[in-house]
Amino acid sequence: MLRYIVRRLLWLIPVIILVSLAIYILMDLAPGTVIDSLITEQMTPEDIEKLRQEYDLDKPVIYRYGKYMWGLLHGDLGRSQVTGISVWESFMTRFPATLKLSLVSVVIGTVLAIPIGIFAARRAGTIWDNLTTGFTLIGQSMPSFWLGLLLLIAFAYKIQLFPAGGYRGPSSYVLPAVTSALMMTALTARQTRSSMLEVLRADYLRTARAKGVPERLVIRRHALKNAWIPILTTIGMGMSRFLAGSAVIETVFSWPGIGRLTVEAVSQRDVTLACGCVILTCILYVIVLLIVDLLYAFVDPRIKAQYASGGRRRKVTA
Amino acid sequence: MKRVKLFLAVILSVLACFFLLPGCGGEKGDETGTGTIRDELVVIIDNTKIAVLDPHNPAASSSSTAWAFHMIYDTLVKEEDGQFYPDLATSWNTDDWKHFTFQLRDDVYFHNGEKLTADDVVFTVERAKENPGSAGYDKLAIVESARAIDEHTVELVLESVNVEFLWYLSDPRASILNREAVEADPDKGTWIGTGAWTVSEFASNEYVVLEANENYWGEKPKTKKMTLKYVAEESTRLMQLENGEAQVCFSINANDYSYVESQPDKFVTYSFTTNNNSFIAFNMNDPICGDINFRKAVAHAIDREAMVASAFNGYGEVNTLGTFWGYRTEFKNTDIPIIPRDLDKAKEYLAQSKYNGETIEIVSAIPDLIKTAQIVQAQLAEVGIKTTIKETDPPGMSAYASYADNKAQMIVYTASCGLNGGSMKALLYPYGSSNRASYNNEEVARLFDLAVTQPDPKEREATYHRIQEIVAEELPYINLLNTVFLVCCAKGVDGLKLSNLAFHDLTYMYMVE
Repeated sequence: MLRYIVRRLLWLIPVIILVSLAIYILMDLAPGTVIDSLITEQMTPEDIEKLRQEYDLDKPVIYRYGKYMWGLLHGDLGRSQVTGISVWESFMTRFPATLKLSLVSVVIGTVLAIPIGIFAARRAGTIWDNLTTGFTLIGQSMPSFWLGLLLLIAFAYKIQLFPAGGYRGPSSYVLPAVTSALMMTALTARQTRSSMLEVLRADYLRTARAKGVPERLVIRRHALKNAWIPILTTIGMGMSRFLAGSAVIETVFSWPGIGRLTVEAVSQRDVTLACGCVILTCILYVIVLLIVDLLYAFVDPRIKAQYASGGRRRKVTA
Repeated sequence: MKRVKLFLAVILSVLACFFLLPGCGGEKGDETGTGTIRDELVVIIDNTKIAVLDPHNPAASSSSTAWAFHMIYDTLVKEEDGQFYPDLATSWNTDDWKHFTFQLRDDVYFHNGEKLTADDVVFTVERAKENPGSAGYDKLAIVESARAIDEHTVELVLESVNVEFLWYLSDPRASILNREAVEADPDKGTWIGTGAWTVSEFASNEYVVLEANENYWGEKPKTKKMTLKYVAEESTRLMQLENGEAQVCFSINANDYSYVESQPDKFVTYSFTTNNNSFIAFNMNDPICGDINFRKAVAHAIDREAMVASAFNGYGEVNTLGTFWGYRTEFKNTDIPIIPRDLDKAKEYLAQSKYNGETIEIVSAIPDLIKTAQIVQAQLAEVGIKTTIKETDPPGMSAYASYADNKAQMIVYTASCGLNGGSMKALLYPYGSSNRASYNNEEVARLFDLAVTQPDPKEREATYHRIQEIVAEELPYINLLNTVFLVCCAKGVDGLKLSNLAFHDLTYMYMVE
């Protein structure tokens, strides 16, 4: 299993190289540079040229990229070209807010989605199944900024139960977490329903029922356990997406997360900050997916056995 | 089963307390004859955000950063209606407007307990000069040398004579820092000032929490704590104001202005007109836009009232003069008549111009100005000028329409205009940082250089008036309007000092409940 983890982590290297190169090239193609965000009234052409040299903008993009990667190789993500604040510090200032919101969203999303999915699967083809399918369809297709604003109007403005945005105290988590969780609820509920439907038709469940095992236990101990893999994948994908930050949710709820930090960096042509944010997000993404992969082993003994054998296929003998 | 229910009930109760209780409670302050002064105020700043608390950092040029600077630091002198008053300097003198000597107060302490000395002024000037691109550099780069004569006397020698130097010194970005604090901690040492407020918490681009400085040498603030925070979504800002999460909002959507004004029981509003001009600039190097007849045709074709009504919801001051000068910039020439809307004349000038039915590109950035560009496009179509709009963002605008490399033909944009005449150089002087027209007139440049050497206000006025006359004749810019902004406050908020430059002073703002 250790070899598997190391191999997955090593995959991060080409991912980081490709992603950072793409950012450097794309931001170089965009009109304007970071200098254009910094020009002030009294600056002379000499001052501007001096700044261009300071930021290596007089050199080709590949030189700047190479310099950045050299720093990265030494564990230095650099400093924001606009504020001068270290990229690591900027990221870590915002990361706790994003992490906490992601965790709360995932918990809400999962707690709602799994019972809904099981409920729909057990009543497949009935009006209840149609209703839950409709609910998940709405959840998936509703734009999050719109839902967020509706929740704000209802619960922050009309009823005044929760604050209208901001990152102050536990009550401020409710509306952004519910907004971001709804999309995940919809996806996970659909996934749970289809996984459960497959499993519920399996022979071993029929056998369990024939043996007189109560339906509650059939679902909990036999069906759900075998349906976990795709559900876990959906939850992992949701968590990764939340950790990358959602600029929309963060904007609507004034949440100081990394999504907005990245968008602002791009709009200010702050290549170092944008690149740093994306690289760190990539690392988080890969780590979360790795954890999900490892969780498979705990859920499904067959996968655990596969890890134990180092991923080698067993020789099939006649 | 019962146990499970009990467990769930306990969990739900804990969650309810966890989520709902933090909203309870409030702040009460000093009792006054008319009510109680609220201890804490939450202010939603404008869209510019506070990225850094360091006047010598290039990211510190936003207007809302200047509000924080007003509160945290002090300057050597302060300006009010074009007059200069002592602040950290009790007096100053100059014989030639090149050598300035400032006498400092001897009762001023920084937030870290260090006493203000002339060495701190020297340090501030030297540090500003090392940071081109920062607003502090902008104000202090003309200082050639700074020298502490004694503990409380400092001499500043300029590179050349400049009678407008005190304007620069009074800018909040020219505030005085503490050498010891900055050298000990280059990142957070700049949070230490001598001002009426101390920094207690700061998150870049999000919020800054300030606490009243109990040891301030001047008048102490009435409020004890103030949070300046950025709220990205406009409708969220209004909701926060409505439900009492914020007491002051500088940036609600102009569509909501009429709603706020219709609620006098809940809100009090203050308005200010920005000194910054929204304009049409013509690339003077372009074969068509470089033709004066074409520019005059455009000037006769536009209807400013329609722009204010449609793009700014009526919240704009239509320009009524023919001069291209800041709204309240000193020495404005009010004798230059505006070119009126006259479609027949526009067509006449167009017929005489080099325009032959080509599609002219209008470049614009920022939503309100993009809307303005669309209105300009429709109005120009009335006289037969075909246009296309290229939308970009502010960095894109700087790259696309800069003095030396101007790829645009017409530009609908805005620019920062200072209150001193010399600040207009940014738009009208060769290589000016906001010279979107690539305007280069040797006589105008000479007169700008001359004006800052003229101590006599009458002479200076004549020089600046002449500049405006030349610019009005050549028409590199058409001044459209100045935006009117509404500051929405909870009822009872007062003490706010608004500025046309949007460098508002919130130091003595308070709210009576």
